[in-house]
Amino acid sequence: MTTLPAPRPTARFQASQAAPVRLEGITKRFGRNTVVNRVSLDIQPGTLVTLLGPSGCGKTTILRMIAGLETITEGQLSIDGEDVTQLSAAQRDVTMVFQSYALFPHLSVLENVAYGLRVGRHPQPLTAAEEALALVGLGGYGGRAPSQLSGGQQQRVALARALVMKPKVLLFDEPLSNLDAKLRRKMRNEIRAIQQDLGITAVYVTHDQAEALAISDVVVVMSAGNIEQVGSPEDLYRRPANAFVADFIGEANLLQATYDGQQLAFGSVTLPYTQPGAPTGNVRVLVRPEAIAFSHTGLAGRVTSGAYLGATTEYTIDTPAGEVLIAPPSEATVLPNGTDVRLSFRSNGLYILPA
Amino acid sequence: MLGLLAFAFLPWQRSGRAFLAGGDTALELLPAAPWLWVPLLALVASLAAGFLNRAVRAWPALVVGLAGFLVTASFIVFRNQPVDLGALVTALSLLSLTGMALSDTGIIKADRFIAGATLWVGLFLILFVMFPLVKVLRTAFGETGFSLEAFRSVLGSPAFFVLENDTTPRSEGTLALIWTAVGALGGLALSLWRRRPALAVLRNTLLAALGAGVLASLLLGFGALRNSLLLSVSVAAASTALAFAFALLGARSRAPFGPYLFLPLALAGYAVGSLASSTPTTAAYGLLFKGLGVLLGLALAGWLTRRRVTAARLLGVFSLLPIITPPFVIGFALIFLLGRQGLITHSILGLDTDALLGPLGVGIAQTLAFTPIAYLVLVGVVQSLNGTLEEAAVTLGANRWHVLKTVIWPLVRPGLANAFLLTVIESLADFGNPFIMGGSFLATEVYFAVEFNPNEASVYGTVLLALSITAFLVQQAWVGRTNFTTVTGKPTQGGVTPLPPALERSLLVLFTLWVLLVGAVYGSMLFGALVKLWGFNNTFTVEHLLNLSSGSMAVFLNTLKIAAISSVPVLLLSVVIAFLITRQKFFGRGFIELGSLLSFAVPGTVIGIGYVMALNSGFAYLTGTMIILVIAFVFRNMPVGIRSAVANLRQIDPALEEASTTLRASSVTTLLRVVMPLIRPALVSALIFAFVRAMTAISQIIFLISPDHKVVTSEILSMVERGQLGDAAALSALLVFTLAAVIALTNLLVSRLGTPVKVTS
Repeated sequence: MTTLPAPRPTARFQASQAAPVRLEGITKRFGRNTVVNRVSLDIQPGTLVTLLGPSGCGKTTILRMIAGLETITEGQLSIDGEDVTQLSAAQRDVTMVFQSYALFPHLSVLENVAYGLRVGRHPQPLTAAEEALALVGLGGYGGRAPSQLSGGQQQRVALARALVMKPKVLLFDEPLSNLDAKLRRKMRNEIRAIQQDLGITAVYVTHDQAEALAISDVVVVMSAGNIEQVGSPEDLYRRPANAFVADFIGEANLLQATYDGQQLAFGSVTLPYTQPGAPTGNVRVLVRPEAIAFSHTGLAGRVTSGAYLGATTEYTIDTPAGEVLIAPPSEATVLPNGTDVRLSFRSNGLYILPA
Repeated sequence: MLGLLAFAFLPWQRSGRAFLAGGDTALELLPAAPWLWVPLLALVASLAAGFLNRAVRAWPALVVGLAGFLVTASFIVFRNQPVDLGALVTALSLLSLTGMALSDTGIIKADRFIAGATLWVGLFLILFVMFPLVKVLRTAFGETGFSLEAFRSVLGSPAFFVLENDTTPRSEGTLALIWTAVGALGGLALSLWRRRPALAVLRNTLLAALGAGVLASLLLGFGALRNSLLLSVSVAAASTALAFAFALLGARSRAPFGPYLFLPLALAGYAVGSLASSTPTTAAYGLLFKGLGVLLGLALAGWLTRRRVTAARLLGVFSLLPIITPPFVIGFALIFLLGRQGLITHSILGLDTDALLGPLGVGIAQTLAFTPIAYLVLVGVVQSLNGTLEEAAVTLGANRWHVLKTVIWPLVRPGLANAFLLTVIESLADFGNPFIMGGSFLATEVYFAVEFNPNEASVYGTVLLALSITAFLVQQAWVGRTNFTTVTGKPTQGGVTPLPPALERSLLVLFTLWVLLVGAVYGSMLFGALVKLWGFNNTFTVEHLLNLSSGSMAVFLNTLKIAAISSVPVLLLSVVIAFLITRQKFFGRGFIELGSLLSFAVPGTVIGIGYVMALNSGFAYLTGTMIILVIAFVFRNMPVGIRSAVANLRQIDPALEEASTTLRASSVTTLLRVVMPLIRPALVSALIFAFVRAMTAISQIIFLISPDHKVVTSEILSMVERGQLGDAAALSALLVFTLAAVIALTNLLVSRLGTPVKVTS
């Protein structure tokens, strides 16, 4: 893999003013099939909002409706306060970075970036395209054909091509899914850096929860055409609205417990815990694996499987409160199946799910 | 915005003046035809509306445009005078206005270009595909009121179909009944023996009875229907079988083919030598010539062996031949081989007969002509077989025969059906071969009937149409349902399982025979052009070549011109229609898709009489002009262009076009700047293909030519009819070599353009 020079944002490159985006009761039906069901969302100017969900949840459809590539069956979409529901993709101030990059193979890198400028009769398309390429760290690559670039470089060209139009909203459709894990991490940081430097409004679609947490100001978790939760990455991880979100974001242990306002009881084991507004009685408690440790006292259980992962070892443990996944740092040996263990919980790693 | 509007509105303004070019202008007609005020007002109104806001004018513009177009169209139709350019431009611009308004009002959810293009394409399809076909059907079913009279008289006539022949001692009807009964019994016995459920037993019995009955009627009956059906089915069976054998060779054989060519090339050398020495002045050198010919043949075979040329390489060349050769030219060249003075019948076998011509000759000629077409279908199928599947079978312990039987065969069966039905359609539609060789077939009956009994011609046409469309629909249904071919766009991984050696050897021998036959056909055409009168006087002469310049050369150039002119609209229409079909969702897409696909299945003869009947009078009076030839070629060759454009578009990631759209490009810009450049090599090939097909077409064109506008194929046909075989051979050779040169040049050009860029990302 070629090492890429770090992006050099130039002062001359200014994004157009960041615009708010507002979705009101947006619905999309293909025939009788409802793909997006009355979704409403306010996107603040200059933020990066991620639509996150399993495949088929309607996140890409929402993105394409914002772009104008799909018609909106019902509802209203406004960008920068202007109703754009009826406008075609070509009439909206929105650009998109495609999953497959969609670089025109018959045009050079520079011409790819200049394409939209030429269509819009920009006075100096090539100069502006050069600047955009420099911004994504590809200055001097303009003469090459897209096929001569590596995947990461192609991704940067696609980004430059979208940025150069100075859009009111920049859309990303799973832009990193064709890259390998290491490059993905690097690229997502760069995308985040450029977005923040330019203060541009961006909507980002992904099914990778780690990517969503790392990059976003706000994450929108979706399933089956509905919004499950909107919140900051920390909100979603620590305070999921329901079991779906809890399970989709990170590893989750959902345990049965009873709660009386002061104490949380997993069977016979109790620990002091308060959570304002939480339901009492029989509750489901989210316990993240990092909040559980082996100890001498606490919840009793039995190891049902152990997998050595290098830095950590992943165990599943059968307990009266349910099956528990934990990932403590690796010891010299992996505990054999059937070992009796006891587990203790850190109280700031617990969260009672709303009823 | 204003610039765009000015651009959009200018043509409308001009259309009023374009009337001035022809006879009576619309302005001059105005006092006599008050209806003409409507389009005039509509044009003026739309011009004025250009200054209004898009949202405000959308609905009024729609009403004005639609009303204007409908009035203009009805005026044109009811006035029934040949239209001039002015009326055409007026109608089309009003149609464009309607399209734009439809897009502005949001009725069609597409931009203005797409909406306008859809309406245009729809109008063209109605005018030049549907209208002629409807005309044929109307003529067949009685022009005034519905009547089956024409049908009854034709279908009842013995020329169409008769089973019972009174002149033979046997009773064909009884025999056919016996066959049916035997079929039923056979079906019953087989399904009982296999212990099928009752319903399946009944079905199999009925099917077997039906099959046996139809088979008996085909074999024992008489008439054009029986001849056409029997011919097409047997030709299709033979072609498909041969093509499959060759496809296996082409995709799988890696053995050098040279060794197989020693004998054929030596024979060819001998034949050339003996032909050369039959010129009286060189008789003394006969032995020398023959010896030289044989030696040259052997040397060539040796060279091919040394170069390790495989059958696949030769197959590539041979699959090109039918594209550049009108099918009937093969039939005509067969006269040189199988006729009374033919090389094979007379010189080799010493027979004095032309029994091999006639229906049998038609069959041979069609098999020669259509096998390569079936090959092109099947080689794709065989090549796309995923090698890993076979490797999996081999690792599971299957031997090569097993692999062929249990893996390859089930996978290629849909492809075989496809090739079979395509050949059936081609054979049914072939006009030239039956015309040259004689025999009563549907396609020729249409031609012979059209002059004195159009109703009869239409009935034959309708039957032909029904058969072809049935075959086409069966093909679509079947192939659409069970297409296992594993086309992934990735280069095939895994090695190719070689053919079993015994199979490979016998297939190579078969191919050798084929090469010999095809070589003889083309060779005899060349020699026919170079000798005085084939078979009677084999003296070399340039007489026929000189004759070319006195008349047929002009026809040849004229045909080149018409073919060239017609190939451009084919290209444009194909790209636009393919773009509409593959990339746009809109009302009427199904209609356009069906319309353009259907004209693929319509036999040329039927299109021909359709045009003659529909465009012979009234507002669409076009017969006798060059335009009608161009239009016929355009709508004849368009389906092929559409297919190739669609195939190419399907390989392009739609995200590319979406990217262009999000970068503010309109669909026209996207089409011109992204789509067209990406499919450029395919466009060049489509252009050339349309040109070549126009040059070699005969069946639809034979009805449309006029003394001023003849085409080269009809010229060859009439030369054959007049017995000027040498001249015909010379002209055919000129045609074939010109087209071969054109194709070779194109291939060079396309490879210069570079192999199609890898479009998936």
